[in-house]
Amino acid sequence: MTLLGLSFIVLGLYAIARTLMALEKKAQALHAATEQANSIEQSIHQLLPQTQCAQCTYPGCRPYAQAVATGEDHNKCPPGGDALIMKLSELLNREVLPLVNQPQASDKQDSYPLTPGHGPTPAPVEMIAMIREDECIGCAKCIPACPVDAIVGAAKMMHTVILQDCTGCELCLPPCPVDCIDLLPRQQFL
Amino acid sequence: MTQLYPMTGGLLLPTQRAIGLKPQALTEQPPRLVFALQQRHLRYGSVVKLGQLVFANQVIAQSIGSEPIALHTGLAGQVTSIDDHSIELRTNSNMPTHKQPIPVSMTTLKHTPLAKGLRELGLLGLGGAGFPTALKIHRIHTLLINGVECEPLLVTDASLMTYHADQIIQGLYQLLTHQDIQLRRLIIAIEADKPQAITAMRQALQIHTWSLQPELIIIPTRYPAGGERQLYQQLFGEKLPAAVKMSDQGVACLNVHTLLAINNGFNGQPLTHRLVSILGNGIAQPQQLWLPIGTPISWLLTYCGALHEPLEVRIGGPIMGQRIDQRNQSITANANTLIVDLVKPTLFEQPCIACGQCEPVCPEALAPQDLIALIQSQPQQQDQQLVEQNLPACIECGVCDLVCPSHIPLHQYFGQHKSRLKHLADQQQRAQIANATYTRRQERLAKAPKPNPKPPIEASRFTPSQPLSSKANSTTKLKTNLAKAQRLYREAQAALKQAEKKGLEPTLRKVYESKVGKMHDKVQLAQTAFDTEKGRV
Repeated sequence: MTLLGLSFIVLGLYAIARTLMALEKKAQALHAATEQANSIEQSIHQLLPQTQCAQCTYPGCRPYAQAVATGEDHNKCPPGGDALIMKLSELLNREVLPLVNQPQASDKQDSYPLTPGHGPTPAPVEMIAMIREDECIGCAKCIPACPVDAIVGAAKMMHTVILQDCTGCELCLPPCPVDCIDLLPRQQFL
Repeated sequence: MTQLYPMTGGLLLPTQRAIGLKPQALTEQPPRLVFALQQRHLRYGSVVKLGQLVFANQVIAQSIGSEPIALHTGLAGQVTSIDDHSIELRTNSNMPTHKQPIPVSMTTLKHTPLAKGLRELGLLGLGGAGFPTALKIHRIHTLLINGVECEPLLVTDASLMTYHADQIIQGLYQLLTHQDIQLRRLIIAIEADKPQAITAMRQALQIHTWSLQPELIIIPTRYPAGGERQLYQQLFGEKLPAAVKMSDQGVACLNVHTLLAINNGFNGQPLTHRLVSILGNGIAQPQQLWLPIGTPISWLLTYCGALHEPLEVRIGGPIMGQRIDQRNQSITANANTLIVDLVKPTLFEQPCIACGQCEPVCPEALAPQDLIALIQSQPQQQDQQLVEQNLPACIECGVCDLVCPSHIPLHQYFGQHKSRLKHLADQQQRAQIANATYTRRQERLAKAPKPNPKPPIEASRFTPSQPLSSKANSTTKLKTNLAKAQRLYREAQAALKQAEKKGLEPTLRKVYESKVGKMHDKVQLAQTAFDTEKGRV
């Protein structure tokens, strides 16, 4: 009697263990798949310039990386320029495409037109935003526009840009009612 | 005797020093001074205005940053031009020196925090790198005085130690008495081929009684034994990794000229002058001059009697020095030597033959021939491999150039790529920060409550939730309300009458009349409210 009981228990345990193992295998496979997708997205994300400028029509660099990983064109990042396209083409094993979203001709003296057949054009000059502080009226409209919290200020107080944090995304330019924000080459400020 | 460890690589070069060159003052003033505002480690911003008269020792610019370092003028004059790159003064010897209290005087430097005092005195390393001294002496336990001027031809530090040893040692002594400096070890390193300097320094050391005995260490002559990292290796027996600075290890390395400037600082004199050797076969005779910082090199060449032939001017030593365009440059704090040579035929660069002569001489144990092969080959994966091959550790000493049979200017290539890699690393770091702030912001925005539409007006706001404290109170309130309404009614009537006197247009009259009507209604309302309340009481 006891023997029968024992064998039942052993069989039961074995069955439970088998099902558990199968479940774990399934979970592992799923995990690996997501991991791979994540790692591609991650490596795309690492190549992106992190300007968070949304010129690619996605709200930031991370969403664009996700989109590229799932099949979006990899030529929509103007701050990264042709150099980025080359790197992404190599990473994703895709064709090199010409840049689609040309930099807006706001007041960029140094926008390089694409020269087909002459290799990648030099990366655009790194710019940062700079508030002309005498003219700032303290409307606080540029503060929520900044994707990286690089503008400090309060209502009716002068605002200023934290130069180290600014990515030069130009998103603060349209909200400013008095046009007191300039884009200047980063080199001027160390 | 302290033990010395061997240095990696290096070369024994003929030094050909013009020993015995005596420091001299200028016999005439330069007519103008040009201060370079963009230097290797600092960017200055002007604090003077165009046309302003400045005194000698006055602050004319400050470095940009939260802890500014001052730049002083050594001569009085008038500011004639200011731009992003320079401030120009027309000097005037008739003006007195700065009358206002000099930023730090002997007594105050003793009692102010040392780093702050040094910043206000504008002290930079005078050995050749021009690194701000205030940033070096933070939390140190060992002070290393560098008198190892290892490049051939250089004599500035040697003659300073020979002729001004007492001032250097005085500066050291004063520095040690400062409250911010607590040392465990004090080392003075001098190169073996400067016997006069060694004797002079030994004698000067005996003047003072020391609480911490300085160790005078003689470093064997070998290029580049005087580099900070090379000295560290020779004294402490281990190599500093490329990313680690000497000050991170609690060791500060100060040049002897910097110590002399610190001594001047304790006497209230900011950094305005420095000793410059002018050497080479392009001038009549070698000289050593105390020059105000900002002296234009074109003027200096005429003063020293430079030959009227095509000249090649270098600031710094013959190996590591920078060739400059003589017309518009001026003396900066890190210009220890000016080498004026007749233009030599340039040796053309030949392809690398992989002879491997550059490897044993490299003091940082790099493989220059592998590096140059990488630089000259595939540009795609270059960066990663250059970092792996430890290019950032290159100190640009140029020994590899000296031994290269193909005359490849190796250290120039390395310098370019080093700064490029540094720029890339900076960019990457900024991208990481931007990514982090962006993610934080997204999380914050997701958490923040969405702005609700205005809450519906509650009825309870209009009915008093609490019973009135006393009836008498409510009657008085109603009475004042009534009085107020009556007053406003009277005022409205008066306004209408006055307007009628002046003559009114019909539309305006309607406005006035409606106002009077409204006030009348209000008075009636208040009256009834008051009456009913009174009746209840």
